[in-house]
Amino acid sequence: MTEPDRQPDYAELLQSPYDPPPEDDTAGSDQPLPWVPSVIAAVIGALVVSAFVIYAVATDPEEDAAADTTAPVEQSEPVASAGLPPGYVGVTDSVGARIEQADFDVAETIVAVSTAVPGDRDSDEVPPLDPAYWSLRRGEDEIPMTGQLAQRGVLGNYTIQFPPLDQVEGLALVPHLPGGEAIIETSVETDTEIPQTIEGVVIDLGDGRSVVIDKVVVGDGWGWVSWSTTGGAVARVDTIVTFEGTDDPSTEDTVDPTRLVPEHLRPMTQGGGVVPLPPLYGFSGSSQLIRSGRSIGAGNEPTGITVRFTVTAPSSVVPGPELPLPAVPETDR
Amino acid sequence: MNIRGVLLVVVAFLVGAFAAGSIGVRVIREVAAPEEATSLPAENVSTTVSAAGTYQIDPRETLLSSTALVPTTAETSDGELGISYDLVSLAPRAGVEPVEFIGSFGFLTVVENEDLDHVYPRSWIVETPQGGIQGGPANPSARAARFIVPEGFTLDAIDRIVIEEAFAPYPADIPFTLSASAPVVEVLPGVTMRLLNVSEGATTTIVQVGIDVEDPDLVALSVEGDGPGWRSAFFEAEGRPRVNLTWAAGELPDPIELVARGTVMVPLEGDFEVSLEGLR
Repeated sequence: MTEPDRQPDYAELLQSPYDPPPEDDTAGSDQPLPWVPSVIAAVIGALVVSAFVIYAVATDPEEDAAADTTAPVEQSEPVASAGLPPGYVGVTDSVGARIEQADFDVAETIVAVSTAVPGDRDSDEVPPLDPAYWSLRRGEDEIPMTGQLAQRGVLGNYTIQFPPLDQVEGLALVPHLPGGEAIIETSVETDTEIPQTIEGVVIDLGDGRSVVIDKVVVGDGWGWVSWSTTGGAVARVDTIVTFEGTDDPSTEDTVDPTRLVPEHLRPMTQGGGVVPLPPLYGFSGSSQLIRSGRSIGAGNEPTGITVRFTVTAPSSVVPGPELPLPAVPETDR
Repeated sequence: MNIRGVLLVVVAFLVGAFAAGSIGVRVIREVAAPEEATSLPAENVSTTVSAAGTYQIDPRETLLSSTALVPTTAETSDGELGISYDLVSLAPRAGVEPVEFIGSFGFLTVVENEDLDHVYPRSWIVETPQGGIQGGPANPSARAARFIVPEGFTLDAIDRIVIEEAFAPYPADIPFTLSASAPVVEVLPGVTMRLLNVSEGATTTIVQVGIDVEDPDLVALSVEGDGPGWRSAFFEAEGRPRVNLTWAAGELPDPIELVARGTVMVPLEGDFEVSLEGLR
């Protein structure tokens, strides 16, 4: 038997005259109900819920948008990692692209493409897109680009060149991305005759693909190179002409033969202007070669000329997603 | 207070809360009713990559291509309204070095990537009940749009701010030819190349080409020789832009093959509303 079981039997005997009256369900049943605290409680309850309702209405985002269309909806966090700006199609897991303009000229088709990272990515930590090439696709047909341009000082914007098109409806732009890259270096040594032209150097890329150096022209302080590919290959080609045996006496302890280099490799102190970015991949290319170092001539005559080609080519190419072309105004057709 | 009293207070609290809650739910439904009435059926709604109300870098941003324009301040003074803004590019740029060039008097100038002219929000309109006020930045490098406003103008009078005309820079590469018989050619609308002078020396020939641009804010081009035989060109920006090219391969060809390279501003489609949030 437990203590609570005995309590009813001995409660009256154990009670002191100074103890407070027992508080059981029956005690005080004849006293009036406490209406005042009840009314106060009901009012407090109503006020608490009313305050919540007022807060909910006042902070409702749709109400904000309806009242002032210029105020963006509050959001505590930027969009998720997949959240590219509107209209951008994810080309890689961290870069999206969007067509800003398509110009269908009688001589050339030009497509302007911008790229962006999602808002929760740091654009300083994401490298720019480096497409192998772009194509315009209509059904089964693929029209490859003739060239693509990027430029230092113009972040993430590409100008893509295509041949002129008779029919422009139903086209989509497709980036083709490189899967790895191979670098091949080849040199040609020749005599010191200036000017001279070197033609037909073939650099094998494997799988039936090659880069053909169509022409290298070497002058006394100027040069030119043009190249193309076979087998559908894309590449970029850097050409450096070295005048062997030349030196700049104004520098000590360094061997600095006079060279002809592409513009993006020229020193800042020569020529002024903005040094361009290295060229993007292409099916063909050409560039001026600019002198770096002392002029050749009396007192600085070369003993030989070496032309070095550095070819960079994608190991493989993977097509990306389609980017729809904007509607074409009648006047541009 | 005994147990019965406590229970009564609790019940009264709940009754009051329930009554207020019922009224509140009805109020919320009525507030939401217009939105529901204009919504498309679920099967007609497609999900976009970036839903309305989301943002990339700031809730107040206006996206112009891949650049977020974020208004920072709006001030009126001496009959002029100035709206300052930041331009934040979302373009990927890891490993892209800043622009460096040798400027006037041989000084090296460096422009950091974040300071480039990512977009040019050229033409703005401030809408008020009394009408629209046109304005905009002075040039692509400015970061404030300015408007001439009537006397007594206050920021409270602004209904909306809209960018009506915006551009983004794109690389350009335009071959063209010049000759004595055809010394002027329009390479783009409003951009003309002009053969200014041909000066033959003992071993080289200097070819001077003038660049006439109707709107210099939209076009920044230089000229190079196209093909073998040219030395590096020298651009003279002071005064009327012109380029001095040196031909070093014997007789100058006719016509002269050249290429214009640089940047052309491409118009961005649409109007772009600027947030008033935090400006007043």
